[in-house]
Amino acid sequence: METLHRIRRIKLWFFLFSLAFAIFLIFWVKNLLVSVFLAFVGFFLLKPFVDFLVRQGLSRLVSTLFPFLFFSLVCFGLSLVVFPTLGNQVDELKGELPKYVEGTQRMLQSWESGFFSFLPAESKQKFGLELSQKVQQFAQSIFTDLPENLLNSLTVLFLAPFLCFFMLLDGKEFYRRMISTVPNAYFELSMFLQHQIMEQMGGFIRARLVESVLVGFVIWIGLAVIQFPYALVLAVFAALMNLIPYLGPLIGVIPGILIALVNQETNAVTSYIVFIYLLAQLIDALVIVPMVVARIVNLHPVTVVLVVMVGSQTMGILGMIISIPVASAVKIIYASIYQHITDGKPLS
Amino acid sequence: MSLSLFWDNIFKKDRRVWTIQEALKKNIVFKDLAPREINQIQVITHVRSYSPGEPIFKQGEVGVGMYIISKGSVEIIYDENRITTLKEDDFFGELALVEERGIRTATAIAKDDTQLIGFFKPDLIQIMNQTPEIGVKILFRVAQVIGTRLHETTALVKTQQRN
Repeated sequence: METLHRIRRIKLWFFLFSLAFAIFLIFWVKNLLVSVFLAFVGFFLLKPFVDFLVRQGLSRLVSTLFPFLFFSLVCFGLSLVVFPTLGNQVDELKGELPKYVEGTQRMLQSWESGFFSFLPAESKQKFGLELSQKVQQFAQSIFTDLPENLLNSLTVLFLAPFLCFFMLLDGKEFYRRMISTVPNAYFELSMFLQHQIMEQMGGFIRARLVESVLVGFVIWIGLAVIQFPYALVLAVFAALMNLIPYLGPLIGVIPGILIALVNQETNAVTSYIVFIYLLAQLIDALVIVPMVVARIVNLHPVTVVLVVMVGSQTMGILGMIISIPVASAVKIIYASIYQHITDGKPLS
Repeated sequence: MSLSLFWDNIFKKDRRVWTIQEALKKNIVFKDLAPREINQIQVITHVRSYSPGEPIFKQGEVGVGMYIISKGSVEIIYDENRITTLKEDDFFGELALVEERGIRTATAIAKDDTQLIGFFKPDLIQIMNQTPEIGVKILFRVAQVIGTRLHETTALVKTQQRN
């Protein structure tokens, strides 16, 4: 009996230590958090294909290798087609950036004089100066940080698929070994939480990616039709921002509108651009959301905004994107533990 | 230690794996499975050990699966009343395999040093996704077990109403 208790104590400490060590490593090692996040995205995307191939009678290794190689080739092919265009547009935008920054500053100054006419001239000047500096700093930081970001991307590009491959291949066995160390009192609860979280995350990530690709594609086609400058860059930006619920679509539309206003496009062109962004969101809201997102854990819009703000404060854009899945997981854990403690009474 | 290596049959299968396979083969839920399919199930089950008086699950908690008793015995308690004692090869908790949010309807407590083989809903879902023919065989038997229990309960209620 004493031996059994001792083994259990050792198992519990081992589990807690492994968990703490894994969390510490993920946050401490540079690029590991992004790599783990992307590996999870890949895992949730490829898992249905791996399951399908296992169902056809192939071994786990072959079933993992096949979709993995196929998607790598597809991504490589896409990058050959899309990257040169994207690179050219980024180069062009970089060259013309001073023009857009200046135009934006001019617009902001003219709006200020209208909106803040009640302020004394001195504070208006100070406000305008600070605002212009912020805009300039933000726009330039995107390009000055680009080489470092690309270097980090190379590490992530190697690490994320590597992690993803082994998550697909050995993830289940690893999980079994980890959960076997959980004490009896929390065993079923842990299993329930893990199952719920993986289900929710899988649905959430797949839905968000489908949404973003669709929104980006509609915007790209729409802007390319009228040969609007930087159509692909704007579409990629809007698609990335669309990963952030509620706020993302609003942020995504800003560069398009700014470019149209600075270039002093006609009202018809500006309205068309607004229409394209709205159309993309409409298709998203009418087709994708009812099909896939509605089944995902619901967070109140106020919670979403607060959580996204906390994410952006702690980890920038990446924080904004991963804050929602993390908040959903926390909500499931909180509700389930509450129910466990209160003998089955659900959290109302 | 050194002498036991000389006397033990070191070529036999791992005894723990063998026990799980035997227990699964004897259980009605896995009755229709071929030996190869039993092997597939065996690798996804969880073996848990409990000391006397230790709760396995409590009434009202979220449940995710069924247990087969491979060693020891388990008391089932409903609202502080002991309903029954289950022995080796008996199983319990199978309702949680098919319920949307399986809430345990009774408490299960280990009576002696007990070893259980757990088979859980996430693993059943994985089996259904990867090898649906095994999933169908298991689900059919689970449905049969629940149906039989329903018949027995209905008969009991009728008898009590007559009395």
